[in-house]
Amino acid sequence: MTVTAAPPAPVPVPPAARTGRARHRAVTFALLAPAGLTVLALVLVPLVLVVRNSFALPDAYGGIEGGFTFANYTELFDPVYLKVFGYSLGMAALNTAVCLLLGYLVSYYLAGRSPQRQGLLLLLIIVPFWTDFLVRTFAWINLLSPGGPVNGLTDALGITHGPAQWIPSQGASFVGLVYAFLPTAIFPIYATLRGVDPSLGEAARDLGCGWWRVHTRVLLPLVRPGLLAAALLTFIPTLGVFVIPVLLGGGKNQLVGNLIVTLYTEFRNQPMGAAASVVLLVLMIASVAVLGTAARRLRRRTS
Amino acid sequence: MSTNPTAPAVRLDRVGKVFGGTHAVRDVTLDIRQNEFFSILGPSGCGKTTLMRMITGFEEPSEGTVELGGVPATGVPAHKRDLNMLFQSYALFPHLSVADNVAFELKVRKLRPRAQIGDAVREALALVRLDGYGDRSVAQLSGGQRQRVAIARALIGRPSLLLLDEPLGALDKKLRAEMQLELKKIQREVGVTFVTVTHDQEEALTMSDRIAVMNGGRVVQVDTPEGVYERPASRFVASFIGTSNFLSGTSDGRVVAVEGLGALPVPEGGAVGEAHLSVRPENVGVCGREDQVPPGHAALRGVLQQSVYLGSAVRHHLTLGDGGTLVAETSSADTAGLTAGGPAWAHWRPEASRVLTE
Repeated sequence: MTVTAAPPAPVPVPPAARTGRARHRAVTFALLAPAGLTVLALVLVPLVLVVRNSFALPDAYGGIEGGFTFANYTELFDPVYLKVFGYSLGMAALNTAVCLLLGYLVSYYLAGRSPQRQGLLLLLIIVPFWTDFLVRTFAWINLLSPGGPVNGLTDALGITHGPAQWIPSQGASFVGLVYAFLPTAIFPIYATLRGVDPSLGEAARDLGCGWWRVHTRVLLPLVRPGLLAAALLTFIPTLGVFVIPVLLGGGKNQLVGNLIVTLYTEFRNQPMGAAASVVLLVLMIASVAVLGTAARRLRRRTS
Repeated sequence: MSTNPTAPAVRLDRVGKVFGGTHAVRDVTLDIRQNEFFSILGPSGCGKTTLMRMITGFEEPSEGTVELGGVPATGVPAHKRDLNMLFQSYALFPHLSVADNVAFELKVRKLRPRAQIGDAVREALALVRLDGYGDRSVAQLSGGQRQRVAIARALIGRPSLLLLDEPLGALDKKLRAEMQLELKKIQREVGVTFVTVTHDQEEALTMSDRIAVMNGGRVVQVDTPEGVYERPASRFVASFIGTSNFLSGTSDGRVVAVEGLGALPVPEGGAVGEAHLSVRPENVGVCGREDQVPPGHAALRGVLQQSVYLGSAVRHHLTLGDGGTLVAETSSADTAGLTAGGPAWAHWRPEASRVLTE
């Protein structure tokens, strides 16, 4: 067989194809437009407004006067406000730590059950998680109220004597936080742990690890990516919570979320509320950056 | 756990395990000697894995007792038992390097001072011919290399017993033959009792000093590879290890009378009553005429269905007078005078057959 192939001539793009590509692009834009406009109108525009307002001067009636000042930010350095930010970060860190610990233990328990049992138990975790946040928080008011079910139990066990005043308190508020974010912590940890070969735990036992070291030396290092994801999903939303401290904590020890609400509504100081919001946003982005870097470093080391 | 050097490495006394009302393992009594290469052989679901997990301590027996090196192991958790296991999936820790995997037990059990760990790891990797692989990550290794790392990790603390769960199951055929010899060599070198659990009869026959054959949760025979193959204790063992022809009839101790086929001589002193005569295909000869049957042989007339050429042998399928089939394997030279569809005589030395009552 003989081949007499001429070098391929450059193929000019036919005008039809060019208009086809243009139409394709137009369709893409048309399809993206509703979502894009929604994001623009409901996220970007308010965000720009909040950032703008955080540099504005307040008028005497709770409105915005305009102008430009850094005073709203410098005023946030007042110890009263700093305390709120510090307390929020501390609460978020503590809540994250407790949720990770409980989430890990629950995940470990779940992963060790039979597949049918795992499904049922997961459902028991997911269904309350789908229930409205507010409703679940109200439920805790009933549970922890004087003479309520929890009080009845502690009475029966002899821990308390008679009605106990647990609400409002910092403790109740913390219980509410842990309860609200525990499922968010369980899911990523459980998903990672399920991907870990169960014989690795047995191999660790076989090679001399008791219960504690099976976890510290083998299982915990292997679920670290799940723990990081859980930390991210717990820490950041906790910073913005405001319903739980109001309902269970009596609004005394405020989180940043409560502070922002107070600044906007009670103090009628929109520029300062806006400044507090921007600071919260920066804190959240910073924590995403820190945890994200840690996750990336982890991936590089294990791959 | 201190162990007695003269006691059996493992002693199982009437051990049973019940899962949800059914016996996975039932009434197993067994001694595994020190420095022995022992195999637990059986089809999947026979309880061999459960039996092994009771030795490692991952499961507690529901009945009976386990002794390790003469010391009762009841209630001793897995991490306090002086034995290690080679997992079927190798179970190497993916977050640790090869060297850290191998050193794992030394660090956890503090068996050596920190300064000596590096030397111990190099020595263990040399044992499995992986010198210089210490810095690699587990993900960079091939299946065969992973198994070698797992062996080094399991042996570095010099356990008195190593349990191997289907050690060659995940390897390809060529690597399997190589590893069979190598495991045997390593076992001789380190002088550790090896107990493998396998469903592969060839693996058990080539590597073991002794084999326990399990079926339905029970140990049905414990013997040397030769004993298990040549003198199977039951119809199950005779058919699970290698292949056998079975002819059912009534034995009077000297002949087995098979209905429709006649009386066949068997070794003296066999069982009496309802019995199966078992004979391996390679012990059966085939010829075309009755006068070619060697004197003293048991012989059966049949019709040759087909002869299959196997290279080293020829396999003949015969239909017998009662409609049953008999398989014979002969060396290639013996095929003269046989035609498919024609008459054929199958014959064997009576001593090559076994009378089995179970």
